Amino acid sequence: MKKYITLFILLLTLVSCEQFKEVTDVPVVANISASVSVTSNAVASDVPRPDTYTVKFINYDDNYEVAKTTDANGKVSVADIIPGIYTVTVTGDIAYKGFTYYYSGSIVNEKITTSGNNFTIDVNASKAGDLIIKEIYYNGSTGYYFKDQFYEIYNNGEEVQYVDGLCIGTLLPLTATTATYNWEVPDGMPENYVYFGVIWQAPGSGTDYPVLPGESVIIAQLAHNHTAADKNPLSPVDLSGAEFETFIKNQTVNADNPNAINMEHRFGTVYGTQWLATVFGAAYCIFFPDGEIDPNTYVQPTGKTDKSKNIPIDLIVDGVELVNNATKITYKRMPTTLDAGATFTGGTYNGKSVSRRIKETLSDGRVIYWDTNNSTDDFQVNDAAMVRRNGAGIPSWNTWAK
Amino acid sequence: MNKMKKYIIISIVALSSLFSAQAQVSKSVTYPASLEINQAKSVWFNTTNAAGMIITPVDNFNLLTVGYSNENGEYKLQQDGDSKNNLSISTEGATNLGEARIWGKFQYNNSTINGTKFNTIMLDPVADMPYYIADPNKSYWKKQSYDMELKAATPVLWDVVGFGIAAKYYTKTGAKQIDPRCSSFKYGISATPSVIVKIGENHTIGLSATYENSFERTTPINSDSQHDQDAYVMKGLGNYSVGVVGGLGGLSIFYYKQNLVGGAIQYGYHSDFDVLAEGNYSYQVIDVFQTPSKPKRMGSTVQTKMGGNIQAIFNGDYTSKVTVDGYYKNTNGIEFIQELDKTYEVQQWVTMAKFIRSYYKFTAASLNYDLFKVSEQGYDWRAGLKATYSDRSDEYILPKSTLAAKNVYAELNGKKNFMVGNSSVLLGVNVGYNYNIDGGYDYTGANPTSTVVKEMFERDIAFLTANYIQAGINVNASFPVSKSSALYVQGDCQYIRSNDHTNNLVGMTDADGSNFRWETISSILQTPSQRIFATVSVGFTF
Repeated sequence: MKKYITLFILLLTLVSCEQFKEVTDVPVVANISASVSVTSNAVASDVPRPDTYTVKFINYDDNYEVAKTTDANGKVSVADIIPGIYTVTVTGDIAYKGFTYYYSGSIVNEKITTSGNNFTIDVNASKAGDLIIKEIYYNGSTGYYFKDQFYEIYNNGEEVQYVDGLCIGTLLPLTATTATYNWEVPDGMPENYVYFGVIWQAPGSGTDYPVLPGESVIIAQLAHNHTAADKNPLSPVDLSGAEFETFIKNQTVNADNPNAINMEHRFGTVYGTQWLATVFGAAYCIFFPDGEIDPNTYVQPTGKTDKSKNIPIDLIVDGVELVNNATKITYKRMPTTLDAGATFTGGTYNGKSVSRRIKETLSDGRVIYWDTNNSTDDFQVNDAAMVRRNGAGIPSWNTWAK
Repeated sequence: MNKMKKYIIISIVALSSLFSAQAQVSKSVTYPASLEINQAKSVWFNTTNAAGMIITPVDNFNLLTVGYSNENGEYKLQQDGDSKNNLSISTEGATNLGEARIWGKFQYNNSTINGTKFNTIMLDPVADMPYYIADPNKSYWKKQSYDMELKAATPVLWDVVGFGIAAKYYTKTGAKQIDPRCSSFKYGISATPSVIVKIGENHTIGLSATYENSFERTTPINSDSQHDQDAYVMKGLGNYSVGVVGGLGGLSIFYYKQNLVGGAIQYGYHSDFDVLAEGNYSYQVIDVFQTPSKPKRMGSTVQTKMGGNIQAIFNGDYTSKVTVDGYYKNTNGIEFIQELDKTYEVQQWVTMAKFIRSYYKFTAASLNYDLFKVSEQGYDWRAGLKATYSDRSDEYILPKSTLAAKNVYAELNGKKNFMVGNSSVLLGVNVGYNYNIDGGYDYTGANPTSTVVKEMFERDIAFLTANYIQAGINVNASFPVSKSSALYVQGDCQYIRSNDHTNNLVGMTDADGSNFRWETISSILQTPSQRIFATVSVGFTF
């Protein structure tokens, strides 16, 4: 017994020595400096550049943010950085020949603990006017009801867009996680792709489903009136007027809405009788594929059995990263060129949604939404999901929406 | 835990039996006044050196007490409850073991704390532990604790040297009862071996060393899994990062690992009067982690503490005791910059850098003077004077925030022992006043309008810098039931009242009941805040 007590005391002493060693000679925190050089090498030379860019150093752990404007050479220095892990974003815009070009670039999870770091951030340009994901309702509503999930795709530009063949899907990993996904792709360049777990595609010949500027289409999990007594009166949405639904064939649990156009399930496993996207926040992208999607070819991460369809980043029209809550913003799945931030409702089954913030309302009443490829800045949280918020128009070919 | 309870119960029974058996040699009743003066005279007993207990021994005694206490009132820190009830059972005794001396104590507490805020996980929130989870929901806690202490001293060997040891063990469990809630447990153990060396008849020097280890583990959860709860991962002085309890990726298990080493030296002079001086030093580190299976450092505190005290007692028909005590402690709050190593099959948090981000400094000094009119039953009366000075000075370095509170408190107290036949009625009163010299809270962080700043720290600073008056009365009635045992009933009531503006905020909502917020009342006469502490207990001395 005496032997064990002696051993126990020795062990505790050793443990405490190690613990004490960890906290010796720890420096006192002080402000440090850093600088950023903005380049736009990937943007065609005939596209105009903004005169200056806004650079933000964001430390999510400390809820600390420093914003500065670059000089004419695209350079900026800051001297009041608190050591930490930073996301550095660069944004800028310029109007040219009737269009607005948005520039954005970022680096994420950058360790800045000493002075003198210089970061070069290459920005990409996107012309306002593309289709955007305007609202995502993924939480579900009270009573663990999730069949009322929907996604609204909006024409934020000046020209008519066609959603024929448009794909929507969620990326892997399914939720923001610390788990490692090292993708193995044939060309050995995993950074050039995003990795879908599930893909749905709208039918159409190419001009069947036009969406005019200011109009939107609703992709419902199930195009029903979810506020009905036989569904969930606590649901915030009636989706019976949705243009599309992700209806699962060969099942009888959920009825098909004969009005809504059924999306085609192109890739991935959908369990159960509906496409339940995680209520904890998935990463969504929309894209137009450059050919048919082969469900039998896929890539996998090292050491895991997940199957994914890798889609080149260049094909992605829009992407939004959703996470469980603020603590998970740094566990991004989506490349920062698509979404430098993340958004969340902070709960589940609470009827809340996220939607883009209004940038401006034109004289004809049409609303232009923010699309800086940073959902932290671009999105807001709504207490209740709403179909076609802010008066978005219904496409003329939708004759069933009330 | 059941096994632990069994051992504890066996320990209590064994301790009581031991003391009881040894107490057969004692033929007189132990009165409360004799216990008090006895412990006041045992100057070595009041140090960390157990070996010295043989020089100024505590007389033999045994106590078994069941008590109930209640406190309530708005004069409190936000993490304290609006009210608190506690049921306690304790036993304590000192006796000879051959020529050695032994003293032991066991206490069980079962408490309910109502109306607490901003503490989601910690069993014992303290100012110098800034790393924990907080939430704004008013809640209540249920807690239990088992505390055991032991001191033993050998006889003075060869008339020169004596050895001793003091040991403590405690285990605590508790749970917050409103979402976000938690279940927590904590254990702690300490050992303080000591030695004394006698130099001649009158002089004694002593040396003691302390090792302490504790561990606390707490699991934040929600009962209602449909509603995740917002929470704050606290970093000090109102700085925090946001967190969520519940859902996938919500906050996980927090655990605290503490180690402390310390030492003390003593010098005693024993003649017609006793003087004992002690100087002590300790060094403590507490590491805070989240998620045992993939530990992430949430912070560490490093605390150094140094202090000293002098006790002087002048024996006679009128026995007087002077105690001067003082200490200084500094706690550094260390935050870690960590990165997840996502290497396949490695996946661990790696520390990239660490910095001292905050300081928590506390200085305290006190002077006590007690005069006893000695009698056969301990004392006939006693009168006392107490003065304390405290200075708290905390700083979060970047972005800079400070919290300071400097107070002096003075108190007069006295007790009269009324003997009615063999029964003793000990009646005491005390009155004191706290004067705030200086203090304030200055926050320049990222969330100046946050709930944490407005509802926790700004309210706490009002409490910490308030002037207040404290008055109390206590009575102990002791009735001998045999030659060596007595039944006693004891009551104590303390009243604290502050006329300062500690509650000059009022809850407001919009007309539809939404947007609850606090607003300052500037023109209305302030209602004084107060707190009442009441304790009743019954017990046996034997």
